[in-house]
Amino acid sequence: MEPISAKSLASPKGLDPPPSSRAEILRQLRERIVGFAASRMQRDAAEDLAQEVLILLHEKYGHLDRLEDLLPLSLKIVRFKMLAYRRKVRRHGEYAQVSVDEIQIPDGGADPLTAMEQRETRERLMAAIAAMGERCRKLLALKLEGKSFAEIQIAFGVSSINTIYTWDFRCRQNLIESMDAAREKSTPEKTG
Amino acid sequence: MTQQEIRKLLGGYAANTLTERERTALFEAALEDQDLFNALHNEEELRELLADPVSREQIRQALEPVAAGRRRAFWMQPWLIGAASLTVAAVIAIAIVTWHREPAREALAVRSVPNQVVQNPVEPKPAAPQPGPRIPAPERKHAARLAARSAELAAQPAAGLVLSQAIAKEEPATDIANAPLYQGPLVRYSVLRSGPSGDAVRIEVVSELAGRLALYRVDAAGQWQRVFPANGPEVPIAANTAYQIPNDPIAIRGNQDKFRLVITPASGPTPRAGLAAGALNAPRAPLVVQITIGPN
Repeated sequence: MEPISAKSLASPKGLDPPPSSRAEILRQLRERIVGFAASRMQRDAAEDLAQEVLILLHEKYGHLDRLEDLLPLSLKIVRFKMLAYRRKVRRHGEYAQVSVDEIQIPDGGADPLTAMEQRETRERLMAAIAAMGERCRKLLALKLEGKSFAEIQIAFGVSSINTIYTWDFRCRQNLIESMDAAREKSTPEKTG
Repeated sequence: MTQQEIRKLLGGYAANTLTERERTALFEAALEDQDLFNALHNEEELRELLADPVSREQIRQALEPVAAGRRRAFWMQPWLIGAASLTVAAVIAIAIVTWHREPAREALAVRSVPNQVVQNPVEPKPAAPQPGPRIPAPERKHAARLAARSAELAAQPAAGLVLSQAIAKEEPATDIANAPLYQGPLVRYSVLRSGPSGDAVRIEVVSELAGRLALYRVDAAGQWQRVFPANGPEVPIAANTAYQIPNDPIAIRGNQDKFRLVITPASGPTPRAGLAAGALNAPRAPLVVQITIGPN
């Protein structure tokens, strides 16, 4: 796929956000997405994926121009793209471009495939949680209760809040790694 | 941005506890820093799961033993207290009955000896077969009363347990979509808003009827989905007690997010005063209250 410059996507459909800032955000986003995707797949596929994310941002979300909207949205699209990519690999034993039309940002409706994947992800998370240490479980439980890091520090009775940040960081790292490991068991991550 | 600041912001991102300013700072930093962007993407899956009320509730339940263990020691477990209460009540009942029989037997024996001496001073006849120790009537009645009372005391926790189990086993049979809506004084509620823009809500419910409580929400397809409790039986509630549900606030979608509170009155009189209050002479059909919530 021929790359489209971020600048050309900056002001779609006659909408008029400040072009320079939107263009700049999209340019940087593209760079970051390629960098991320290249760590999970071949460089060409990573560039295509980034390109498709930008097209989607252009065609469906042209009205958004704030970083606070664009970045989380692009993370979500990249995640769906990666899932779709894995599906294709699983189905055909090959990797190929994923059509923009296949990307379905949740609209509240129930997409069976997405629902199934969400259920699988949830199961992986539950398994990872079951394997977590006592401290991490307690920390996560307190976070889900809506406790701030300062309150968690008091609950644990530690003198420095940085200790809590570090614990939390390690716990999440372990959790995410466990989930990734469980996923990789069922799906080949990189092909070709 | 220091390493600790990054860890703090990343830690709050998945749990959705960041302020707007913190989120912006995190995104700006991620745009410049590939490692942070990658880390943010790695958090995305966890963030989505935590943002989903069903998943969040499941995770909370999976972590429940930790939270419960923190608050309640082993010897404070309800089942253990119940079993211990039953044992103690049974022991007391046996002790009371035994204690009241022994003095009666002794009194009878003391009284019978002089009689035998008087009636048979030289040649005692072989003793006639006795029908058993005679307990004076007033003492017998008193002991019976005490035993009955003890048995009653022992039965009370078990009855409570049976009730809870019966409540827990009952499956909701209400057609939420077509049930007539209730508007009346028996159910009062208020919407509790939280979050930066007030779009995260919980509902405080007070019912004048004891029974079971559930909360439903209409999804994008127009189907009613239960959001509290996310799974398992409906939650037993006492009359005239405020309950705030669900445990974690619900993020409001759109301008007209519709919810239905369903209160199924307890069926039949209950042995527990707390649950029984208001349950008698009350309607038996579920009370369905519709709540429409828009953005703050």
